[in-house]
Amino acid sequence: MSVNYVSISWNRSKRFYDAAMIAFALIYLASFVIVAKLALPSPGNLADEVLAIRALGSLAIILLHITLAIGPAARLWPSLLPLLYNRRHLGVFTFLIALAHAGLSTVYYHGFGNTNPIISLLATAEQTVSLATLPYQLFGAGALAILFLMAATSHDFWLKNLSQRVWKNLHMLVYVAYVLLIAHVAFGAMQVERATLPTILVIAGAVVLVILHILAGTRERRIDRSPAPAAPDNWLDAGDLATIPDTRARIILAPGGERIAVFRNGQTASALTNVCAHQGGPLGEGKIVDGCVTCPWHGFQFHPETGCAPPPFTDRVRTYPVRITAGRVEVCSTPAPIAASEAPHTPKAGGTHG
Amino acid sequence: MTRRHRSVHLTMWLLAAGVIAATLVVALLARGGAAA
Repeated sequence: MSVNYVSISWNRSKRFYDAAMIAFALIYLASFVIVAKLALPSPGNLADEVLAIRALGSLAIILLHITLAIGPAARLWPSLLPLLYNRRHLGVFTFLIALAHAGLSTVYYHGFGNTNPIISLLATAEQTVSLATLPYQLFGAGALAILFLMAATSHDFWLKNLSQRVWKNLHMLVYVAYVLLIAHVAFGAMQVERATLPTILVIAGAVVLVILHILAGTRERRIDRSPAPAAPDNWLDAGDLATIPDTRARIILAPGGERIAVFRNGQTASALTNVCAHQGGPLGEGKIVDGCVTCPWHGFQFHPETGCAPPPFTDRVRTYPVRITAGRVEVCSTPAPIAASEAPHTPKAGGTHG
Repeated sequence: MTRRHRSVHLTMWLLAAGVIAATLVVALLARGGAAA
């Protein structure tokens, strides 16, 4: 993110990941076509257009699986966090590949009759006579419509203007899109083609993805359900200052169940809510960079003492009073009041907000 | 994420897992039926 909205937010890291993503897509598409031409018993029977449709469709499914796996994988293995930082472009790219697949399919299968291609596509619903003839193309169209909505609103402009709550709820439609996509493949390719490999791959992909999400989710729930420390005098014990790695945080539970990130910066400590003001990223899993707590998800920064983003940004997060008693850090479970007149912190380096 | 969001995510994935499993089972049965 920058101070002013820009169409595409690129930096060195994002350029590198985007280049890797495009290279992967090109290599995959070329490999798919080459292998299909060499391996299929009668390559002459399969039109190049059909090959391209299948290559793009399978690529879109693979990319969607990767996109959806990054979140839980980064929770389980923090070394994968750089992938999360670059995930947004991958999501939009997935939509573009799916759009190419859909466009080519619609033109190839519905574009050469007397009926409007879209009407022809919708009419496939009337041809349902059994489970095996469910209108799989419409499932795919539904998934594509949701992916479009998500790609179109993926920009921080929409996150800001729709509000974080509405935006998050909107992007939760990805669950529906994923289920529709599985139905698209299950009642499409799995019925039309008798090949076992694609069927196994789709089932394996769904199983891996669901297991990853459930593993990450249950681990988080276990933490959420662990008993919050008793705080008779409203002060929570966060342990010895020396045991918190410098510029890093220890995450503790407030009595209400929300998480507080307790950062160490040299011989001082500060506490902030663990929820980033941008997309709710876990601030406590980030570190202090240039004097600011930096979210591991998208690099949003907040001053550890005031919770204010460095100027010219205006975001802020809740902070908690901290005291150090005999080397132990104690955090008040009641958030510090937000002073309207509080001056934002000026960072040492130029403010990069994401 | 807030505690509520984490809970919603897990619930949605459990729900999605059930729907996906049912979809795949029905699709495999339909495939078997069509083959027979």
